[in-house]
This record gives sequence, structure tokens and C-alpha cells, in this order.
Amino acid sequence: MKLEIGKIYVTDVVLGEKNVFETGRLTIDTQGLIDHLLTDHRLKSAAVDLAKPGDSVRIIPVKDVIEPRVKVFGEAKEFPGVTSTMATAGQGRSHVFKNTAVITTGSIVGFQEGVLDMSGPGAAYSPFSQTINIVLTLEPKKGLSQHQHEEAARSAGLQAAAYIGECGREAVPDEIETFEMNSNAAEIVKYPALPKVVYLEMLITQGLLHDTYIYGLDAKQTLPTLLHPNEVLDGAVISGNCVAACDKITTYQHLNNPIIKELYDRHGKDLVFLGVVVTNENITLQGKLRSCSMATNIAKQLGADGVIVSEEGYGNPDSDLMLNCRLLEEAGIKTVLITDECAGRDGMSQSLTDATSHAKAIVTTGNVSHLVTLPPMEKIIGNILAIEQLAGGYSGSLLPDGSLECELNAILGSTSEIGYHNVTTKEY
Amino acid sequence: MKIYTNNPEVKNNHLPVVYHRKSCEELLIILRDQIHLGGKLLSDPMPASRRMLESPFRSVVLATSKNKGHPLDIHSLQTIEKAIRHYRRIKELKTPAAETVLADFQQVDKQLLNSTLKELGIG
Repeated sequence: MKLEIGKIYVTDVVLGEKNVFETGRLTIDTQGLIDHLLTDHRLKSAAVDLAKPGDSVRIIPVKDVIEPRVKVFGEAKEFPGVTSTMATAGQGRSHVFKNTAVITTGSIVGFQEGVLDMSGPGAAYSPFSQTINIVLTLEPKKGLSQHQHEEAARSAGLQAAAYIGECGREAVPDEIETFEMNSNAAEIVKYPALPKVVYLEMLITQGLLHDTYIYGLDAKQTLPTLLHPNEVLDGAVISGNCVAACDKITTYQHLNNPIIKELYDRHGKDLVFLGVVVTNENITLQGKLRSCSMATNIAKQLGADGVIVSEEGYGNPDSDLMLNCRLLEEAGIKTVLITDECAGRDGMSQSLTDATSHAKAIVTTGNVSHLVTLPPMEKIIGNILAIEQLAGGYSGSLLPDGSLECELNAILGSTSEIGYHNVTTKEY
Repeated sequence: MKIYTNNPEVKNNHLPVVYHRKSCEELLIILRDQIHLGGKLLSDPMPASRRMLESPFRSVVLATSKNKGHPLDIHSLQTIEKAIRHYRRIKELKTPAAETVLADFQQVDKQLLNSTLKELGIG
């Protein structure tokens, strides 16, 4: 399977009257975009704003982040099974607008979603403070259930990313990145002496605001599945959750999964990359055992020597993480876990809610309890009340000068468990 | 099978419900006692994110046994003990959830329970 990602670097975005991309400048037909989104009759209104790096802007609550892109040639279109008919992603060429993102906002519930600052100390913590953001504020029609509202917002973000991405169809990419890998049988023959590695990506899949979709299918209704890495990089996996701002894997992060890219880079050099197993995180104990057992079985069937496991979320998914680890290690497969920590504000508490003696190699992506103070911003996009609601729980508090004191937990993408984030580790 | 909950929105479920107007930690202790009496956890008592730990509401599904001599399910006991320890640990940092979001917390807990029941084939 061969995928070309044509990267088009955007230096500025403006809201205008027609869709044009010229010498780094992306102009969006704002009314055309709004009209396009409002063809979804579940939405009452949609507003488009821009938020650029360095602006005194706070976006809250953030639901999803999506990278604008268009399929130039290939079997599938953008986000197959969701915004286009089902076809296998990961083949042909996609043109992608880099340095920019579509962000969806609008309160589905009052307490879950996160904050994104475009300047100040908070901006250092999110990779999406460094992108030029096209922010959609979406209001549902009255009477819509929370499930319907979530689905409409999820769909709007993807539709907007495809609509804007269309401007890049005829553009000449600044750079073309090629991802090509044949069948596992063929690749193993090429590099017989190298260890074989599987990436096991755990996806949050527990219900309202806690879901992920694979080719449009609700992943909590799936069993662990083997995907070609290109499929993930080309839109097969879609975020449908806004549970934890710090460590939810946005659609943008799925499309740019750094674990997949690193394994690709090292394929044929010091390892053989056998592909991505996507697995779910169930609420039921039997469901956890079923998915972890089957994920392990797939890794065994593939002949993996090692598995890298990334988690999504915190709490009961820690049990899936440790169960995956135990079963894989018991099967003789060396396992590395990637997770963030909830180690208390001083970083001294137990980081995870579960543990196993088999977990010998764990990479941390940061402490979600780390406390930061975010000064007031001049402009709020989204729902200003959400700040008070964010401050209502222990995730944050509103200080007299309007600053928000909160844990990293509240900042979008601050402790990504697939490593698409800004925090780094320091060895003492 | 019984649903143990402190969420008033779940009180009137068509399935057997044991409702306690108590904190999550107290609810989990009641569940632990039931496990010692032969109950077995069907759903995880922990939520899936730090933010959901703010929720004052939790609903957990327990398989109940009428056999007095039913053996203790060690996995259930370990799971509930871990959850109790964790709720105790975070309690020190916790401030009461804002009134404005209580209804949302109830709704999301109810929806997550519905997903659980569906997965168990009883929803």
C-alpha cells in the first residue's frame, strides 16, 4: 500500500468570499462554509472565527481538531465511511494543509471539554496553540439529544476539513511524504534479522462523549482489528470523544500519529513494522478481557517480538493497559507502554490506577495534575460560561483577576498519550 | 444482576436498582461488601478520565448471587479496592462540582450505564 501526503504549508488564513489558496495564503468562503455545514438540519447555527498563534484568544470548550485535507487520487475520499462512502483509506495521494486546523466548539455538556489558549503560558502546553485555527462554533437545534448533538458536531468538523481541504486539490505541495509498505510476509522476508514490532493503539470507547470511530463504525462494537498504518494516517480513525482535554486523541492527532511515523522511519533499519492493531477500552470487565486477549492473539499470530501500546484516557483504561501488557508479556512479547500520569500536583502520588509487575518499560507523556495559571484573554471563542463550569470542579479555579488556575488536565492536547504534544521528560 | 447507583436519574431503570444517596466512595464500599457476600463486578467502578472523577455520580453493575456459599471473586475484590483507594486519594483535591453541571454529570453517567447494559446484552 502506498500513500503520498502532499504537504501544503499555510502561512496565513483569511475569511473571505471565495475559496482560494495562493502562495501560502488560504482564503475561506465563510458563508459558503456556513451554508455547507447548515445542510445538516440538526444544526441551528454555525459561526466561523480565526484564532492565530500569538492572539489573545481562548477557545473553550474544544471538541475536536481536524486537519484540512483532500484526496487527490485514490480509491477513498476524505474520512471514508463518515463524510464519504466506504473505501480503504491509505492509498493514492492526499493534499494536506499544514500549520492549520479546524476546531469545533460548542457545549454538549458543561463539564468535560478543554481550553486552548493562543498566547500566554497556556500556549506552550498545546500543539494546537501553534496552528492557525479555523474555529467553528456550533449551536444545535432545540430538542436534540446529547448523542445527536455530538454526532452533528463531529460530522461538522470533518465536513469543514474536507470543504476547506478542497482548496488544495490543484495546489502544488511544498513537500511530498511517501508511506509505502507491502504485506507483512513480503516485508519480513526483506529484513529477516530485524525484530518485528506491532503498534497496539487503545481507543476510548465507552459511550456518550467517550467514543471513537473506525471507518464510521462505533469502535466499542468492534473487536481488535489490524489496520495498515496508512489507513490511520489517511482518515480511517475518527475521534468522537471530549472526555479529557489533555489526553484525548483528536482526529488531527490520529492523522499525524507520531508513533506510526516513528515506526515507519525505523522500518527496515532496526525493526520491521507489522502494522497497527486498534483496540477498544470497554466498561465491562468481560469486555476488557475479551479485547485484550484478542489483541494479544493478533500480535502472536503476526509473530510480533515487541508491541508498543498507547492508551487513551485515564482511570479504568489503565486496567486495559496493564492487562494488555500482562497478556503480551506472558506470551513472550516484549511490551512498551505509553501513558500519561495522574500523579498529584506535587507529582508524588501513584500515577496510574492499575499496575502489573510485567510492566517494565513505560514512557510517560506528562502529569495531568500539574498546576498552571492562565491569564485572562481578550477574546473568548465558544462559550464563556464554560470557563466558570471548568472552574467549578477541581480541575480549576477562577482567580480574582480573571486568571484561570487549572491542571494540565484542562488544556487541550497537553499530555497526549500518543506523543503528539509539547511536554517533554527530564531525567534526574 | 443489580445496578448500584447514587445517581437519581438511574433510580427508575426497568432493571433492578439499588439506589443510595451517598458519595461515590461510600457507594463503592457498599459494593465491596456485596462482593464479599458473593457478588461479582460486571462493570468497572472507575470512570475513564480524570474529569469524570469529578462526577459525584456513579453507576456500577453487579452480578448478585443467592448462594450463601458462593466463592469470593478475587478479581472483583481487587478491582473495587483499587477504585476505593483511588477515590480516597483524589478526594483531598476535590471541590464540589458546580450546581450547573450536576444534571450533565447525571446524564452522562446514565448514558455510560446504558452503553454498559447494551454491551452486557441486557440494555
